[in-house]
Amino acid sequence: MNRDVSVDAMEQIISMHFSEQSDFRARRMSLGEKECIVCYLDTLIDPMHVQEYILKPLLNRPLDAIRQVVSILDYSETDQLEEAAQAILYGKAVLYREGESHFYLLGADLKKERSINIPSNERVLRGANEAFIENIDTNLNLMRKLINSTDFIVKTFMIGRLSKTKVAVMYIRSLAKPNIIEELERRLNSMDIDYVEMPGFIDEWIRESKYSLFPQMLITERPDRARAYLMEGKVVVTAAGSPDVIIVPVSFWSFFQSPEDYQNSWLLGTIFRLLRMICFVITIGLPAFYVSVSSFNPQLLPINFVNTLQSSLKFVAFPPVIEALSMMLLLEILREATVRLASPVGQTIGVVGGIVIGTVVVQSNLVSNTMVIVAALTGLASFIIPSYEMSNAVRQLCYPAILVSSIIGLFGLACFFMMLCIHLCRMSSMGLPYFVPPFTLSESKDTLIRAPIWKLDKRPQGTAPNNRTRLRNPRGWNR
Amino acid sequence: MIKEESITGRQLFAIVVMVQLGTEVLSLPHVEADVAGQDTWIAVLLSGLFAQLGILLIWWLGSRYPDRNLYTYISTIVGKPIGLCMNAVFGLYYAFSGFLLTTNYADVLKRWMFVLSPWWILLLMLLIVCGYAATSTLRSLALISQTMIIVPIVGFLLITLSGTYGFDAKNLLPVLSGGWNPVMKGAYAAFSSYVGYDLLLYAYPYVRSRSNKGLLLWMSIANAIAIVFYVAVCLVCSTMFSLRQLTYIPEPIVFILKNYQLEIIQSLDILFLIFYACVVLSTIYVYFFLSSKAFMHLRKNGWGKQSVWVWAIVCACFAGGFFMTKRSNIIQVAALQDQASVYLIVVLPVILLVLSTLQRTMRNGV
Amino acid sequence: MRKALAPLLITCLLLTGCWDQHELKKLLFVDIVGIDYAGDNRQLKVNFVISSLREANQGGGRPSAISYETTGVSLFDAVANTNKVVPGDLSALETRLYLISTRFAKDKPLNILNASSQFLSNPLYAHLAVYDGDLSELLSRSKIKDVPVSDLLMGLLEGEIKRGKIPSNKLLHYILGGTNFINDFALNRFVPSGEGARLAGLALFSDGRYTGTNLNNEETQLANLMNGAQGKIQTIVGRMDGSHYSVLVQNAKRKFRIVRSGEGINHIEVSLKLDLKIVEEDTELNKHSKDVFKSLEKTIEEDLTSKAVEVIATLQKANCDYFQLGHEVAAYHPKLYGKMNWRELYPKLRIKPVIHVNILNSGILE
Repeated sequence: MNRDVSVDAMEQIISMHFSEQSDFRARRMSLGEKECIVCYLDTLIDPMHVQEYILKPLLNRPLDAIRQVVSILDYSETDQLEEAAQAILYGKAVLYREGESHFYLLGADLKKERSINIPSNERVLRGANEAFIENIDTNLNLMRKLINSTDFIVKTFMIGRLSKTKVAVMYIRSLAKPNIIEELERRLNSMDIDYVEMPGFIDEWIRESKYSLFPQMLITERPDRARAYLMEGKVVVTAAGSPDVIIVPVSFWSFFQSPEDYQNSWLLGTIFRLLRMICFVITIGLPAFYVSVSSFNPQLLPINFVNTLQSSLKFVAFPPVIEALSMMLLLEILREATVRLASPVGQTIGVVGGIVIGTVVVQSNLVSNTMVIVAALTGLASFIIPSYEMSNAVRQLCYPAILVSSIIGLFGLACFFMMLCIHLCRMSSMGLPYFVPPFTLSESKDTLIRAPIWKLDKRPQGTAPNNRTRLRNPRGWNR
Repeated sequence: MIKEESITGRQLFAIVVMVQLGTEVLSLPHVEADVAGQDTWIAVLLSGLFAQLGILLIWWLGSRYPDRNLYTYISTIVGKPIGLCMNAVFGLYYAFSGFLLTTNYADVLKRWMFVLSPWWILLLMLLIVCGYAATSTLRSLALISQTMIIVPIVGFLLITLSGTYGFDAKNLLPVLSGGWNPVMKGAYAAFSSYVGYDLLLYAYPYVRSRSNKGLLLWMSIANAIAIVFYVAVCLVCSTMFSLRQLTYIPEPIVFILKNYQLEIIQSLDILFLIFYACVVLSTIYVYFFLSSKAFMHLRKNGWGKQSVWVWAIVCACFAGGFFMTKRSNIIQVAALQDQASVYLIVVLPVILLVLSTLQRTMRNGV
Repeated sequence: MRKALAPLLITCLLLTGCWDQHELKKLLFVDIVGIDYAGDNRQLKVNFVISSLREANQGGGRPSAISYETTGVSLFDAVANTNKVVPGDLSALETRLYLISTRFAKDKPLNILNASSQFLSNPLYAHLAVYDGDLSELLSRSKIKDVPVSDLLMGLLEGEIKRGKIPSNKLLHYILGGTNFINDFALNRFVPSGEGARLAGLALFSDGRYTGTNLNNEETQLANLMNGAQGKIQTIVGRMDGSHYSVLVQNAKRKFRIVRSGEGINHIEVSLKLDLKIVEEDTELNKHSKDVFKSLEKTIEEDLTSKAVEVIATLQKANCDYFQLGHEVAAYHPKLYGKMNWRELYPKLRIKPVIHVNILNSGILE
């Protein structure tokens, strides 16, 4: 750029870039004999910073080099007009002094953000209560506070042609497998998209099985969970504008783990994990089992039970398939409605819907009371799963199960479970198998059961093959 | 050679056990009652020991060519044209075995549970699940078999626990009343229940295990578990039924499980029959997998995609299933398949071993 | 693409209708099947007692049992005829009891009952019993003293089986040739009593036919113990020296001993070892010491032995090998068994009962 461009000319050039922006300001000043101009968007900058740390020192020492005068940390220089224009959009103030060849980009942006709150979707009874917020710098701050080690690496990318969203990838260098990190960076860099909605868009772009119902990355808003997974060698991705972070690579069992399992005693943790696995099977299979028993195989139940079931179905107008489908649909409608409604109304509607509709629908002989029990149990069982995505996916799986078992009974249900198992075994997350059956002790230590901490001395093989020891001399005081 | 994912020794064990346990659990005591009478369990045990010998043979053959699977090294032993021909024969044999198993199990289901449902829907459900599974890699097959292994464990517990109601050991005495002849005939009839270890012919180079002997150990443990299962089933059936009853009932295990009556659930035979489908399916999809790999190896760098071959085989089986609705047809064709399996799985590896030894000595001699 | 195929297929299948579906509300669960001869020809008169629970859709409920009577040449024929009279599907899925009349039982009843094994998905755990009276009249009464007839008969049977006084006769053990080595058995017997029926011992069957000879209740209990039943605190009441005693059987163990002589059998010893608990002896209270116990043991042994001799005499007279002694001989002395005709030999055989009694304690009191 020329030294000879006058401030007036510069003002015109820059203003042309921002001719349609009503919040663009260009302030001209005289410092000594030289003219200078400060350009900024007044909705983005903090006026106090600009006044105290840019203008005031400049007015005091107008002749010195800008670098020595201005007391702003975020200082850079550039020759390019485009970079300067981009910097204004990031919230920097651009300073141009007559006779110099570069622009000075001074960071003075205003931070307006929500305060750190309790996590809204991942409550626990025992454990930390901080959650990520939308500002990516604050999120990185929370993570760095939790892991104060030099091995903890944070790398940032810019994704989205128009939105230019800042995305950060975090991992622990000595633990994470290098191929996974490379593969992840390759996939992120291949994203050629206009704007990014975290975490949904990134999830769909990066995942391997395109059409699967099951979530293939874990989404969390808790820093303590993110730290736990980082310590196992996994990689965490966070983006500006979203309080949820993505964790890869995960296996099927990660969706059934909750931070509370590690705060309670290991026996309790094991019992609750087993309960969640049983509820997984119940959610998919219970309505289908009801349909197949009442339509195809009543001989599975002893005679007293089957007589009661028969008398409850005697006057019901619909066949069991329609009963099952309509009750599960009612449950979905109720759930979706309570999410959309504002909170005081939502709670009441939930109670009204549940109790009143459930009672009335039995008394009007549209649905049998056994089916109401089955539907309620299925719904509650699906909400036990800690991950929201997995819980949704599992609840949707009960519909094809009902359909298949209404055609051919329990055999259809068995075939459906088999197809599900095959589908899970074929999936992989970042090259590692998604579903590994937990029937050996080393596999089930943290998946099906929660082994005591002093037994969890090795990291999972898949994600941290280099550095597997995480405990040395557990309970050493007891020797 | 065409790429394949590797599996551990434990995963090999899981696949082989699931392949060896098939529909014979249901029908073995009935078949043996005509041949070996009271000494069914001895015949089945002997048959298992013969299968162990077969495993040793195959392992020895595989250890000669530790980084290639059968379809690749057979051409080096017998020459390219015969080798390609044998690959095609293997492909057809495996597809045929899978087809036979499917129609056998569909026939069992149709007689026991689904009288009105049309034949094609049972075939369709079984074949779709098998086709979907057979298009995966060896490692995914191993993971599926590992998950399904809980079904035969539960089945085994049910069968042995039911053996405590009305157990009469006098049914087994006197031992060897007819001499060794019926026992030998019974062992031949029971051999088809142990067929399945021939997976090692294909899987040998892909198993990551510490030593060669470790691989043999895993295969032997799998065979041993199959032996224990079959012998237990035969013992329970022999002691709980008389010989007269066994000649009439084609699936005695199902009759035994009818006796269970708990407070909340009864008639466990239906549940057993249905969840046993998982065990049968894990045999069938391995057969389809092996068949498609055999056809793919007809050309050096792989001929076509695995999924295309698998779905072609599935469609052929579905079409063929319409001709096999009579039970007597199924039994006749099963006898043919038994003979073919003995030739391909026992006789052929012996021939290959002999030929390869000759080749080696000739090469060393020259 | 594969994911789109599955729902498409399922929707097509739904449109064509579901085949093996039985709507639960139309099923009629048969609880008791009563079989008798109609008139003098060989036509069967079958009574189906259908039990259901009325008015139970809001909790509570009224159990009810309705009986339908039809004639036919076989069970399947009778079912077909009933379906023309009664709306709904008769289903044998929950049948708990098969009652046969004495007239029917005298004429190879098992051949007709074999058809029950062909009832689809039928759990064959139903009991089998004989009724010595007008069967259709008993079953057509829907309530006896405010209890449905099915609950009354089943309650009697299940209660007594649980107390160890009568043997448990499941249908599966008698059809299709029978589980026992020799086709001799004894079924529980009901007789009319007051408004309903009561248990009255065992009806003896020889070679599948009713002999007409019965054992009474006391003899039944002893025969059950001699047949290897477990001790379940059964009460034995006996006489001694003008007064009576009551004991409870804690443990029971039975052994057979075959004593040969030359080419034949000298005698067979049936030894029964009982561990007893005295609860009542003489109408006065006596303090029990070791000598008193010893004398009591001897008295009880003599009493029980004489009763056992009577039981065995009745069995031999009816030519009913209830204890399956023939199986014992065939298992341990096969050559001997091969030479003799057991049917002819059994009534003349010398069978000696030997009973050892061990009094453990006298209950809570001294």
